[in-house]
Amino acid sequence: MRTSKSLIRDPASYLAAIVDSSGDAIIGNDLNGIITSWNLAAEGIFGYTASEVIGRSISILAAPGVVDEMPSILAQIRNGETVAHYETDRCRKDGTRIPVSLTASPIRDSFGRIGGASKIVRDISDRKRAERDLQRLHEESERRTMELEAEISRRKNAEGYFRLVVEAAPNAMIMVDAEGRIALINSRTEKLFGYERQELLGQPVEILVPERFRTGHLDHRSGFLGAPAVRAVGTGRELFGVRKDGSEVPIEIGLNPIDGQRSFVLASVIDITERKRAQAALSDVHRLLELRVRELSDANRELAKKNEEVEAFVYIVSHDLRAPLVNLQGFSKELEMSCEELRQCLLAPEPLNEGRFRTILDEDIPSSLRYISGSATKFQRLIEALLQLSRYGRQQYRSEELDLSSLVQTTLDSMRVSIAASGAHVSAGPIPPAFGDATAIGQVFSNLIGNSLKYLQPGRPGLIEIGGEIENGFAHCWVRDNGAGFPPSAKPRLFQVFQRFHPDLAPGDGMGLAIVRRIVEHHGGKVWAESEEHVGTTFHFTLPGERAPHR
Amino acid sequence: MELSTALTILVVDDDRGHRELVRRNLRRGGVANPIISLSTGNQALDYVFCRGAYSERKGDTELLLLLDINMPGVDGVEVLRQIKSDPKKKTIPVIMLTTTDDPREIKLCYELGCSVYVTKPVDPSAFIETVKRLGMFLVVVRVAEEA
Repeated sequence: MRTSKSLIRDPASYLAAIVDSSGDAIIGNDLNGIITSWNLAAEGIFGYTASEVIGRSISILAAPGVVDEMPSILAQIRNGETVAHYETDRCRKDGTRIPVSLTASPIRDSFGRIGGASKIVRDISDRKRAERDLQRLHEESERRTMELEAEISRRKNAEGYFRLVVEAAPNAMIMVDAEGRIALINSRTEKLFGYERQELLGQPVEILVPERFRTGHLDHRSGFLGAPAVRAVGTGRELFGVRKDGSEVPIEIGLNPIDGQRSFVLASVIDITERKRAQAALSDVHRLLELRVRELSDANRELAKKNEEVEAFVYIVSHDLRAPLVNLQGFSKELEMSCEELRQCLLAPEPLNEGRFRTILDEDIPSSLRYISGSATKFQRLIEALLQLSRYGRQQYRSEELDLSSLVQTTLDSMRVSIAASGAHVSAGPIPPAFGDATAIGQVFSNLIGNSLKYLQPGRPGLIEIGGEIENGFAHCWVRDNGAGFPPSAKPRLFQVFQRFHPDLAPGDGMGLAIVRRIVEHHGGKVWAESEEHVGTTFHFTLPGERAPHR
Repeated sequence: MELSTALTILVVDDDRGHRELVRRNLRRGGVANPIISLSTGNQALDYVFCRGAYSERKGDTELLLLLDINMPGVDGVEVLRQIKSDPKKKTIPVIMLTTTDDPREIKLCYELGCSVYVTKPVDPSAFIETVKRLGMFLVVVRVAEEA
């Protein structure tokens, strides 16, 4: 209050203090534009001190390039007008421009005469800056808006393009969102799964997965979203989709993650029904081919076996036919030599060697003749046996249902005499029916039973047992005895022609078992034997349990 | 014929006629040694190993076997196998009698470890010739064994 007391005492100093404390430059000038007063704010704004500018023209503050408006302002002042809030640029002492707002008012003396002008100049740099910033901001936002609009329209175009591509894809395309809901499908999808588009959009994709795979599919789906990558689905597994009507379709799926603001998965689904069918057809053909190859190689093997058999047969036959031939030739030579010896005896000048003469005539020649005729007979028998075997091989066998039990009974009846002579006990169990030729199968039983009777173990009552059972669609028959048996070494040749193992026990040509085999194999059956020497033998054979195709 | 008289000849063949032809031709070829005719492989083994009907036989006689290959029951192959697998009897000379000179039969003889075979005497002069050569062969074998 002390200050105000002193100020009130000196009104001029009080005004000067107000002027100096103003934030705006307050500049006084006369009507010629000569600066007459310069406050502190003016110093701050323009950089000139009061002493530097007082007495100089106000025009020193004019900014270069700006039309000096001082004369027109002065003219208005002279007319007593006030120029208010005029915005313009001024120039500082250091030459920099400064935007200002100025108000110029006429200064009147106590007589009301205009003696000069007072100018209040406000530095509006901050405001101007703020205005410029605002402008920039505005422009920026305009630009952003335009960009956004462009982006939106681009995106709209892109989405349209995307939809077009999806629609045109040759496969069923299904876009699924992160929640597993169908967001987009093409018409191929409609066709493949039998749904209308509207029925599928928004549905969980599992609607297209068969019931039994759904739980697994959920796991796969979340797994894929955890680590999305372009990939095929179900490599090495068979995938199926389910149609609206519940039918299933084999498919192949490719997955393609799409990243945007929201992630989607685009699934490409291919109907592989045709491929499957082709594959199945191909593998059918393969199987058939393999079957044929196997059949062919079986047939080949069979043929090779038959070939071997034929060769073995020829070898055995030629060998066995040669045995009597050796005798025929050998003893013919013997006869020749006996004749020569006789001639020598007769021609000899010495008295007749009667002993030698008689030996030749009574022993050598008759024995040679016996061997010759015996061998000729044997030769004849072998040829007949071969012819018989050949007849069994060429014969047309009937395929009629046989009551084997009664066939065995008939056979046993016909062998009654030889059974009685052997003293053996023969029993027959039930035998299942089979298909074949009654006469031929009768012959088989007759040969096998005859074999058992022939080769009983000397000194032991014979036991012969005939039986049968059904096995794998075949009638399996056997003839078992407690006879002499044969060693394992005999087994490979057992069913070949002219093989005899106990020629000492009974006469024979070694033909019976060869005939048995020929008949049984012609019926489509098998024959084999088990034996232990001095213990017994069991002969087995099988016959078809159903009618044979016509041979 | 240079065969040691102590040597007994065993002719094993199931065909009686063949045995008789072999015997007669051996005699005709000058072989004076005892000749024993046997009709089965079993009899031959019994004779060689001194058992069965021949259990009384003294085993020190020297033997020569003329063996038919194809015989019922125990055949020539089996007889040869048993003789060749016995340490004492494997030195017995065995000559296979073949019906023919069929390569298969000859091959079989070789496979059995028997390098000597004679074809059965269809032609006596050829047989005698073979037996004579056989006599030489046996002498050579003996000399080699004694050396």
